[in-house]
Amino acid sequence: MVLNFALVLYLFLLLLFIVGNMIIVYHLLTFRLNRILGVFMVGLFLTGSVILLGLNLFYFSEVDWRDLFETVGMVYN
Amino acid sequence: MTSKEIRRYEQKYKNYDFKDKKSDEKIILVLRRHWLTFIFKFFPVVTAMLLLIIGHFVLSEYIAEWFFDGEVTVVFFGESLIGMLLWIIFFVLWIDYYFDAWIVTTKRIVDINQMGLFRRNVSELDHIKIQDITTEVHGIFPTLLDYGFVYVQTAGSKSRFVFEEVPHPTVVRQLIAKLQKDAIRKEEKEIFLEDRVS
Repeated sequence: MVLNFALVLYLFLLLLFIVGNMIIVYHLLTFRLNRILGVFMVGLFLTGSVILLGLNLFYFSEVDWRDLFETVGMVYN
Repeated sequence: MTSKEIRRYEQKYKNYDFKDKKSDEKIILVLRRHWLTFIFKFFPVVTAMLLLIIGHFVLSEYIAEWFFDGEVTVVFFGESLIGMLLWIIFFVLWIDYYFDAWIVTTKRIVDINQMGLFRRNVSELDHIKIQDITTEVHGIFPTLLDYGFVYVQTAGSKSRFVFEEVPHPTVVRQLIAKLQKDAIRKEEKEIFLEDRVS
């Protein structure tokens, strides 16, 4: 139960991050004043975002969540 | 401020563009707040990022031992989540800084007021409507680094345009004054020609 709730919360955070990314890219492209700098900033932002998201998903998949939750006494069933 | 200097500014901003820019107008100046205000604004986020990086190398294993039974990957997972949050905050602040700008063109002044991601006010003022331009440099840092306020008094609906904490306010004032004089001269010339035709 707690594990499922944590998973839903994590998926919600991921969704929020992706939506945040889309809004920022929209702003950088729509309201840009300098075309070259605009493209550079979008490239920089997306590169950082992809690296951070990839790292996060990798660490998420590496952790044995059930074991961890049992260790800290949060899974009772 | 001479016409030659204005043409030099035009060259500097030739790669710049903005929404609603008319085909026959050229950008002379793009102004933002001074970089020092940018540093003050970014200091908490950059500090948090640095602490996160230092913490990653110094504290991760201790935190894992204390709270997660030595499972260091959980700590890395938490760090990457915080990193993602800081990354988004950093760019939201950057958008707030970068798109909060004043654009001086050959025809008008455009005041873009960006507040966060979802609030943006744009107002404009033709050079011909300018009545008075005042500069104000107040404080130790503004005096040493030459940044301050430029107040543009108008006859339009928005009574005053304020350029906040912009670099080299005196140069900005001289430039706007030159553009205003040019606009008045041009209008007087057009009126004179119309009178002659009629």
